[in-house]
Amino acid sequence: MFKSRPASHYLFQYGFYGLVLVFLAGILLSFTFIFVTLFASIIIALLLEPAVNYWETRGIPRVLVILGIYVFIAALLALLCSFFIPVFMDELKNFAANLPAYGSMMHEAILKVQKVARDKVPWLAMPDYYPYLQSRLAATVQKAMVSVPALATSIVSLVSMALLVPLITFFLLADGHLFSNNILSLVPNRYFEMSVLLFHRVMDALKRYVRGQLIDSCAITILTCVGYAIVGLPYFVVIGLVSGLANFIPYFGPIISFCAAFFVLLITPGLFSVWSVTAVSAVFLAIQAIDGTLIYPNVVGKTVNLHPLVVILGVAAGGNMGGIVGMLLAVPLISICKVTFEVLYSYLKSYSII
Amino acid sequence: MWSAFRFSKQKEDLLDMLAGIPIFEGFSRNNLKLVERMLHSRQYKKGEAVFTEGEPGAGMYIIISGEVEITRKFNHGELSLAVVREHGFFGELALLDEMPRSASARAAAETVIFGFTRPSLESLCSRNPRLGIKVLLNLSRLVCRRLVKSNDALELIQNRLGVERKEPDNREGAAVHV
Repeated sequence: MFKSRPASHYLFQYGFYGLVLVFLAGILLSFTFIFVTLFASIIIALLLEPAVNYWETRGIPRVLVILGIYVFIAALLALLCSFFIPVFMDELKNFAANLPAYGSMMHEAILKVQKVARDKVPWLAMPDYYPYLQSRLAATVQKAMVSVPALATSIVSLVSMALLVPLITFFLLADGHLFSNNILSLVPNRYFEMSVLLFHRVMDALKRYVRGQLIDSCAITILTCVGYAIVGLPYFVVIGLVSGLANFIPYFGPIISFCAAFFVLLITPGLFSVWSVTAVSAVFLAIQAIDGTLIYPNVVGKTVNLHPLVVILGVAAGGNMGGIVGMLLAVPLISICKVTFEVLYSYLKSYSII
Repeated sequence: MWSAFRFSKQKEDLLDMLAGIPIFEGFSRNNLKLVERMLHSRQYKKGEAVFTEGEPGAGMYIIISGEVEITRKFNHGELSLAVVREHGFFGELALLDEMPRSASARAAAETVIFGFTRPSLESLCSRNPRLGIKVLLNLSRLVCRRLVKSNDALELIQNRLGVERKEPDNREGAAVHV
């Protein structure tokens, strides 16, 4: 029968593998660039995998399928850019040209609010807020100027990432199972079967979440663009894109989306009225109702299966630690941890390890 | 880069061996190459467990070199059911379901085996559904042949012992299939 080993054997074994994991985690976290690039590549590979598998079943070699998809995506991006970029640049130019007017409008609005407050509620003794806001704005601009070198570095990182991500994604799509096989080959025999099942469960959960979330975000983008275009809100393309991206952040994303629409409403001359606020709010609520009842349950549904409180706290913690990127990565990371702990506990019990 | 276009003799031998495995029966050379890329290579020392009875199964194993002893616990101890040698295979039922292993497998010598896991089979089914169906059909045929053999052996034992036949339990299908 199997010889029982002394406790010190397991201590050394677990200690060694723990050290290896801590070392790898330390490297990844120290070089955030590597971690973010790898994570982005894995996400894109998970998104493109169904299309690659579909065409491979038609008898086309996998490498050719991947190259074909890359060419298609590049052509699609070029087409979208040729259409959207002029619209986006026009809207940006209008916004920049109207910025001084927006500034004076905001000044008048603040003065109006202060006058009404002083007339109606004199005991409040409301101070003049505008000089304070001006000084804060000047300080923010100065801080931004000082951080221009850091911004330049981050632009270089972004460009490097833009080049590396497609390359790493290509290799993940072509030989992804070889990478996973190589990682699993490092696992000791005793934990091999458990590791195989755990790895595939985690990847499966991640795949379903990412694909579902992308479909949901695309739907939100289209609905937002169409809805705000109908009610005549300017910059509806920008707001649509912002809404689609913000939709990746649970609970806080729709708030960001509404704030963007409301901000445009505020700064557009002659647009701010009871009717326009009602129209924008109605469009926002209609989009959220369609998403909440039709799209999200069917597309994302229970792929994550997290309690709303856990999601809110996780997103808040992610935002605190890593800003927008932290908020975007919070839910998939929590989902991975949850699946890992659930499956690991179940398998450790089944495999009589604990 | 050129290694992608060459195939060593070692891999050719492996493909020849895979062609002899019943679940890969009828596979073309290219199909076997696709399967070969999905295999996990594992090395076991003498006495090391490949899997243990009662644990969830992840897949089947094909022996490249060495031998593996299949054992099962009974009331009076552990009984050796079979010894699987080079180019043999075992654990194939785990490709169908994550049910607990019905027996234990332990390396009887320094052994090199290739594992073909259930996730790999699922990946094969999504990448090449025709090939995946072929594997499942071959596996079903293998299970059916073994079930028929088990029925014959059970009948022989019952006849020798003079045991009366029980009515089959129909909750999960009849115990005897014809």
